Amino acid sequence: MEVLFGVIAALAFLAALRLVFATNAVQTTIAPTLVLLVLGLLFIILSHEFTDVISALHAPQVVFYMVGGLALAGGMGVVFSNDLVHAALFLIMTLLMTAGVFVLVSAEFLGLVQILLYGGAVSILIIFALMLTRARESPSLRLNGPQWPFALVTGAGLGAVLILMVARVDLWKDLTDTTYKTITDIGNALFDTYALPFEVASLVLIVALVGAIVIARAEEGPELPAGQVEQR
Amino acid sequence: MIPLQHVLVLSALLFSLGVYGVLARRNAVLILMSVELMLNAVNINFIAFAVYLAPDQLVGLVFAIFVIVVAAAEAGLALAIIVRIYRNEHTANVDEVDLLKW
Repeated sequence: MEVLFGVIAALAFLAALRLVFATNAVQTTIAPTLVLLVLGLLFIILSHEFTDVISALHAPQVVFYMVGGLALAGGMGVVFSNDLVHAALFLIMTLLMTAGVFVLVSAEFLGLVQILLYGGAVSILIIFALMLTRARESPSLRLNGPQWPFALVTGAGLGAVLILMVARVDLWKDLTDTTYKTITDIGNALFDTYALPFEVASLVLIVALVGAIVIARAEEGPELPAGQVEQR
Repeated sequence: MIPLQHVLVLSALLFSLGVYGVLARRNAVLILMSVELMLNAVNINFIAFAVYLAPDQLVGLVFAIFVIVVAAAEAGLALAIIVRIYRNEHTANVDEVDLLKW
């Protein structure tokens, strides 16, 4: 029965890949959600086989699977999409879903910081860069280079090594009902124990700000003497 | 409630997707987006280990905050460079910016 499940899941994944590498942008956006839907439906249909696993699930665990699945779908959309702006939107989805993961593991302040900074600033930066580099106006070249099979092997190999490493270590720890660090503790620590890295981080931000302005500034024209108006 | 290994598997999958994106994509902004994917995966890893294995310490959470700060600064600078390169070369494809090649 597991073999049939694996075969159907592999076929659904291959169909999704076929859709992902399609030239139609609508198909590219449907593909990751199609993978998730098919796998979810399969899980529901075959759920009578896994009753002991399902009865042991908690609600936060199910929510984590949904949020994590959407994050993975967003990641797949970023690296497999054929349209640049679609890839940016998939990245926004991934960033917000990782914020959800942070909230699920009781690090709410980090979740809010993630939404504010990534969803609010970095995403807008990336979309502005796509606008300034005329992403939509350039001819539709293939966005992947000719080395993509080697990249696929490298990514898949790295993922396999990491997952095997995680599966071998005996780290089955569940979240206990301990008291977690709140925003008060993080605030106190940032000004008490980690004050020096905090100041260095603000220096990094100032240097990045000034550097970005200097690098992206428009070229200045010749200087005019005071009192003269530039002739148009 | 959420097993630690499932969170780590999510982080590993996101990181390997980011590695594929960095190596295979040819648009500079797309490469930056894949780097942001990798940084997010690393953040999930940090926070999972910090909350599960050492919930009385703040090192993991504070380090994740600094990773977010550095990632945002790096994204701003990288995009400024990309915009400048586009203004000079009229392309955002990293294969076509090869003035330093022999």
